Amino acid sequence: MLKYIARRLLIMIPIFFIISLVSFTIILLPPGDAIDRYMDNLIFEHGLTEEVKAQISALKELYAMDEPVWVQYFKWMGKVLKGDFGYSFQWERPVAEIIWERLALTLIITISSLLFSWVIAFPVGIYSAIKHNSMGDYFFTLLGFIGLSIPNFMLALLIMYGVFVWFGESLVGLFSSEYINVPWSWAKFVDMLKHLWLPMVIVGTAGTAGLIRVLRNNLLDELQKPYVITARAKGLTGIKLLLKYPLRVAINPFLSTVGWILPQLISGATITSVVLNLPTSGAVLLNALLFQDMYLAGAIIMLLATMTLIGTLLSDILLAAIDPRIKYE
Amino acid sequence: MELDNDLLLKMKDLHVHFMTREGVVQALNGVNLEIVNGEALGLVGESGCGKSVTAQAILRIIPRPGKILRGRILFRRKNGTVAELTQMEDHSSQIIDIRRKDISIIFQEPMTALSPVHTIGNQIIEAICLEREITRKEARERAIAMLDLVGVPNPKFRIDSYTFELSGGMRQRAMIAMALSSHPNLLIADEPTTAVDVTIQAQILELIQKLRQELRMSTLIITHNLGMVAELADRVAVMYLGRIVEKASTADIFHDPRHPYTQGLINSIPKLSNPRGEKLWAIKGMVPSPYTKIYGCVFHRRCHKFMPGICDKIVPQTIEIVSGHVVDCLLYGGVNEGRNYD
Amino acid sequence: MMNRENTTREEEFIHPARFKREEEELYLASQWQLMWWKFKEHKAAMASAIVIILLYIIAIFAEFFAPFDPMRRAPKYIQAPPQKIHFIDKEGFHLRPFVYDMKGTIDRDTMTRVYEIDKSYRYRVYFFVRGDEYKLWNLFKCDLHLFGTKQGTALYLFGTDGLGRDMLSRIIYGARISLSIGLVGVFLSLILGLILGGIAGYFGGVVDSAIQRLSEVVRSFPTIPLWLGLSAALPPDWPPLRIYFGITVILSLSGWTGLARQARGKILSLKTEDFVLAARFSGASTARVIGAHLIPSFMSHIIATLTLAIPYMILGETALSFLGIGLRDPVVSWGVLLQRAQNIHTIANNPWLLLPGVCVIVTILCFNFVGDGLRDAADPYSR
Repeated sequence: MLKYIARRLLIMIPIFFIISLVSFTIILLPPGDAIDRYMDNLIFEHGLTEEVKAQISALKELYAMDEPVWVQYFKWMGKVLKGDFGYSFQWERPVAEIIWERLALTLIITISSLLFSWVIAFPVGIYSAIKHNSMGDYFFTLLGFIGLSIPNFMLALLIMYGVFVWFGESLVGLFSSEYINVPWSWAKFVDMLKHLWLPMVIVGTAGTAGLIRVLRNNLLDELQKPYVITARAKGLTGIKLLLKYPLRVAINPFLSTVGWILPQLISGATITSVVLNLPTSGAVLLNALLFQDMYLAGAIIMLLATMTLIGTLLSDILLAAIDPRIKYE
Repeated sequence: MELDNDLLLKMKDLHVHFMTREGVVQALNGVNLEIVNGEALGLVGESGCGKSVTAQAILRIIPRPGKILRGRILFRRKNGTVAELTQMEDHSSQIIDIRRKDISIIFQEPMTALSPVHTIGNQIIEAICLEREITRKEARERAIAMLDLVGVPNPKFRIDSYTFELSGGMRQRAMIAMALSSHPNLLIADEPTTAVDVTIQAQILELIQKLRQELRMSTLIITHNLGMVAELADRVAVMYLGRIVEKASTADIFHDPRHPYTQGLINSIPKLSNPRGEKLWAIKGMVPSPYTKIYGCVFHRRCHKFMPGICDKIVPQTIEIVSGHVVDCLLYGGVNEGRNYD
Repeated sequence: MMNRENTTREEEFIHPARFKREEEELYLASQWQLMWWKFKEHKAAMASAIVIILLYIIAIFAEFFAPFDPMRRAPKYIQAPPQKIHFIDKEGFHLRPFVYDMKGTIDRDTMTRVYEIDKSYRYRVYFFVRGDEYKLWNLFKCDLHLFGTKQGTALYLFGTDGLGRDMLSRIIYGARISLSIGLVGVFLSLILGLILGGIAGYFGGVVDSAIQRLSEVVRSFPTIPLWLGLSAALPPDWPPLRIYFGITVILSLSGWTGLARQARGKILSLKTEDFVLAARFSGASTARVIGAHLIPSFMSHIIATLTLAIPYMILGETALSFLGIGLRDPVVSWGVLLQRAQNIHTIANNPWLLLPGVCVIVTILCFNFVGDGLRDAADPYSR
């Protein structure tokens, strides 16, 4: 088991570097970015004084702007690994300060949507498999398709509209107005939970449909297998039979779908938080890109991708813990 | 119909059909079988003739879309009562009880028939606990004893092995241990050695023989391997396309086969004593598609003693040759009494 | 021993009423025919396929189907609600449908625009009318529209937007962009996927591992952040067409992984599959093996995968444009149209602005059904 974890961690390292490369490429991509603008601004406001010149050369040194690309990359990576993600010109604060709280909230939304989609997909998938080709199965499959076909932001808009029309209030934001800039407390936590259900449902629905299909199809396959017949012939019945044998095996591919659902969820959380005005990394990212505040944007992208990577690792470990066949590979 | 005292199981006129999208498959068409207390009955036939469906019918585990259309199966349980297996619902508590206590089945491919994610100990203990009230500790000890009985070396250690960690022969032994742990009245072995190689086959055969003698168990051995039948069975029933065509003692089947199909099967076995250069005998034709409905005798298209105008029109009756040896063939009579088609 | 059987009588197949096709027909049918028959059984997929074909026809002939020019502003009808089509008025039933005019005023209390229906005149709706002039595909001058009023007056079946532009016309023109991006993007993904997957399968070893790692990274990268990042790199001063292609390239950069995996698998099977070996042993040349054996076994899955990838692309473009980082005015796509619908108050007052989103949902739903149907049809083992 430990060897398995070690192996997976080892593979993660090159992937992490590729992620950092992609993120850095994104940072450098826009032609003329915030640093240039910032510098132009300085010159415009204060003129080309000695002070300004010093500031400019300090900046150039800090970001290695006159040096070849790969040197810039290494300087950046060096700082990143120490926790210094650079400076945001838009907010005029270090990037690290801005993103940690936002990322934590992104994480909360992502995890809760994941749990939501599991909680829904699990019983529905099992039901669909046991009663396959029944009316109930067709109904859920149809529902799943529709859920799959509604883009996250569309669902957010529709729900916002529906809530507004029926309840007359707008369900935006993660906190009620009185809790926004207040330090954390139990009350604030409860308030957040009250608002959390909306993004959780919106982000979770897209993933749910896929999970239901996977569980249904895998369980259907397993139900036909000989070992299930053996169990029946032994005299095992009902739920116990279902849970102990075919479900146990069908769960494995179900769990491993976390691997591809996680990027979907983080993606969905990003765009939903823009529509719903949630203080997560999505809105900040969008803004940063519109303003071409690239160090902020690149850092967010890299951290989101790394979160996905870690999530996938955790799900693989979970899978290995449950399925004895994997451990012995 | 009553169950005679010396019989353990009696199957009469069993019809099982599968309603598939492509057509109706008449898997069993009036099967009559008797298993005597303590005997081993061999059920022989080519692939697709319905042998496995017969076993599934007894345990009521026929997969959808199969259904028992008519016929009766009477079975004497361990507690002495006679149960009518065909009267029970698929999931009734009665049949579940019978599966747990009175009848066990071992399947062809132990790798897929055993759970891939549980230890064999877990599966055997489960069978033991289903049969009676027992503590897990005691159940575990009994499981180890069973593994020892079937010849698994180092059972205390092996009991915690996963299915995929065992060799083919071990797996089959584990499955036998699991089946026997509930001390059934009737053991059904569905092609028990088909999936293992020849040396292991011999070991498994020896094992089954030994267990039969020690446990005084009745066995239904389903196979297409005539060699196994010769070794293990007391009596043999030959099956073709959903019907039993001949029933006799093992000796009679081999030395005095009456039905042309049985004769064909016996003749097809290459013998060392045959003169060199002589062509191998083969039953002509092929097993027809399961969707076909055949008029008259079900074997007539491939029969080397085919009587035109008779065999393709009249369904054969069951004729008794001598006591204990019956044939369904128009060669031996029944032409005037026979009905035209089913 | 002769292998002939004794035949004196025909045997009878037992067919339940459902299954009518002769066995011989089944035997001789080609792979594509089999797929088609299987596909036809999937009712939802068939219906969806028809809807999609209709959508594309409308998109191709957008200029004809749209009642107005999408850029045409009508200051008198800013943010007008959808007009209802009537058949009945005080005088009774009329065969030809008609609409009423409406007058817009600003309600002083709520400071919102309110429209009153003016029932004084019936504006009859005619088919094949002459209306705004256009150039079909920028080539042919024409002014024929599918429907409209003779006077060219207000006929806003889907309402208007903040500048008084007809939503229906804009949605129809938007279909052209949104639907075509799907096709172009998928085409690019296909090429990228085939090449990368093919190389991985063919060369194996380090190259294979590298490409597999790469595809893993791409697959696990959250798409929206990635797309946002890449789209920001497109200079906003580029002409719309270049931005369009830039967006499709970005979308296909994350979409190629599925196809690459399939391509790689198939090339690998060139080395190992039994049926390939059998073909080789029968004397088939490599070209014949690829052409007559591999590609057919490959094609059906590719088509199914491609169909399922199209909604992914459409979704991507819509999301990006919605956020303001993809296509922009004056380009009209469904995502751009939805940009106006970000604000809860705007939506509350002008819910018809959400209609482009409904079109997106319907399109994606149909593609999903069709893709599902194709996947089932291509799989020889599914019931």
